[in-house]
Amino acid sequence: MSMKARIFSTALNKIERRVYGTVTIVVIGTFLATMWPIYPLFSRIRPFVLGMPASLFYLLVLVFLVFFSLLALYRWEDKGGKFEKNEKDTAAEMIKETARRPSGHLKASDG
Amino acid sequence: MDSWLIVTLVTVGYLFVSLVVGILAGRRASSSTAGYVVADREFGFIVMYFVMGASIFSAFAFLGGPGWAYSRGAAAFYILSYGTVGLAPWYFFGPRVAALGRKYGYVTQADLFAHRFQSPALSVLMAIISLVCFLPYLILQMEGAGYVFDVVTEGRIPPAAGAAIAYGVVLIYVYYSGVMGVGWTNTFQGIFMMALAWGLGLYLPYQLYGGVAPMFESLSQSVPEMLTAPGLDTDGTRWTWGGYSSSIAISVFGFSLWPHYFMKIYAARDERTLKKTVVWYPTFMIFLVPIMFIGFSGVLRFPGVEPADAILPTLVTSLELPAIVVGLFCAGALAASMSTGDALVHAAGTVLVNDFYKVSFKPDLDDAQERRLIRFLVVAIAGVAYYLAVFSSFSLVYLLLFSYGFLNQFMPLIIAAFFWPRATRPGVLAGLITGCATVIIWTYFPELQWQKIHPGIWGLGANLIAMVSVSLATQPMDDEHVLKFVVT
Repeated sequence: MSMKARIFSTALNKIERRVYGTVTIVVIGTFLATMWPIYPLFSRIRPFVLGMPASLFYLLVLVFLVFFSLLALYRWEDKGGKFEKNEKDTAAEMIKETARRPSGHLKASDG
Repeated sequence: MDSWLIVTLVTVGYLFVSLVVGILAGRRASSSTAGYVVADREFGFIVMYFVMGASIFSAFAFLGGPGWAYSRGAAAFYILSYGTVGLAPWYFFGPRVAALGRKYGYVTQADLFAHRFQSPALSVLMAIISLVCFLPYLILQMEGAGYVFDVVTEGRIPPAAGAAIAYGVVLIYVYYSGVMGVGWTNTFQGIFMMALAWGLGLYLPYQLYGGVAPMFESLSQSVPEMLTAPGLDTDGTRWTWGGYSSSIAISVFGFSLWPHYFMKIYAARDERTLKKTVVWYPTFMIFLVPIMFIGFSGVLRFPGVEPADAILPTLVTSLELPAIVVGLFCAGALAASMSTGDALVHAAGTVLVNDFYKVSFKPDLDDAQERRLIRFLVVAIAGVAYYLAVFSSFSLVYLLLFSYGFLNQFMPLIIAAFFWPRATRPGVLAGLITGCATVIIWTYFPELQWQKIHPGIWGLGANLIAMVSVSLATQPMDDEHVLKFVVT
């Protein structure tokens, strides 16, 4: 196994990488869009939407953008059976770990 | 019946329900430390959603949010912005944290990092930083509770007594039920606050201006500068984009790392529950919109209210609303304070015992002793905070400025722990210490804050540089150990 710094596991296939990559970019993009220099472009009074100035409505659009992107990712993971798979992996890992090291995660001898 | 009596009755009713919910909830958890601190890792989606949501709906949001909108206009939008993406990082690192927690029995944030970097010193350092961050917020919540009582009962219940009553209830259910009490009361308190925020947020503009749109219409004519970011600074001049943007940035970086939220990752039943909570979290931001409306509604009709945080109580008491509505407001404001304060006091007790005392003095502390000690410290910490909130003239200004700045210094730890195998123990310790020192220096010398950029951001930069350079200069950690944590 290689010990390089990485963001996504090498165990992911191309499609999975693309999906996680896209959602990560949407989240980071939204974060940047709430600040200078992007927000100043939208931080204006008019037009009013739903009775609110554009500056406030714009932030609500961003809330929904993040919400729906994460919801889509969640649905996609759910459909692909990811949660069940990860659950199984974790359970298997735990059994291995318990057998190896019965108690305490930080012992004096560790430090 | 006198109206103040009705107000008091409604409030007492709310406190009673909180108490009953809090105590009943505790009967469902095991009597172990894991039961008391992380609910046996069995929280479902609804409780998780409200536990996390209540953190946004603190006394700060309920009283401070309208206060900001009232006095600083669009500057308040930053509160809405940071929550939008604040919890999203959990979607990516949360399940990994939860799985490791299950595997090695972690109950706190420092448990994880101390294990990853094999460093009891890191645990102690994180415990101290966490407490420094918790204390001012806890004091603020208590002051908020006392203040609300004082205003709506027209001084019949002084702040000291009000805070004592509200936090007496909190202490009973936290002492008795631990995180189960926190979780289930937050659910009740959360639903209550949402209903109230929307009720008041739509009613007040309607009553004062004939609706939300007419309200913003008149504001756009008389104070247009309040409706566009970055809004106003505390002195009424235009705020800088550097100040506005860096407030969002430090809040986003720090948000998912508050030790009392982070612990809740361990409490989630499974990956599905945890991710669902993160997905739905931004919807909580929608409930901050009426909070903004409330503040804006005071601008033209009630100028000059001091302090600005008093705008909501001022509106509620001066509009001759029915006593029952005033009572509900009072209960809602207490719910905001208590639902944040309970998690803080619970986490403070846990961190002090688990990450500080156990690691420095008594590694062989057994489970039953640990639980007893946490309970004792929950009471002790609440007592200290109460004393500082009520009887001392202790100024929170610097502590509050430090807290988000310090909190940000935990962020490189997450990156190092999971994504950078080359990070070493001396590296992360050097980063954390350098980062915090930078925050302190930049806070005391505001002229260093170019463009009013928050000290936390400067600290983060120094932290990353120190962490990377010291890590690269020291021996890499054992491969086999590191592989348990990092993404491969």
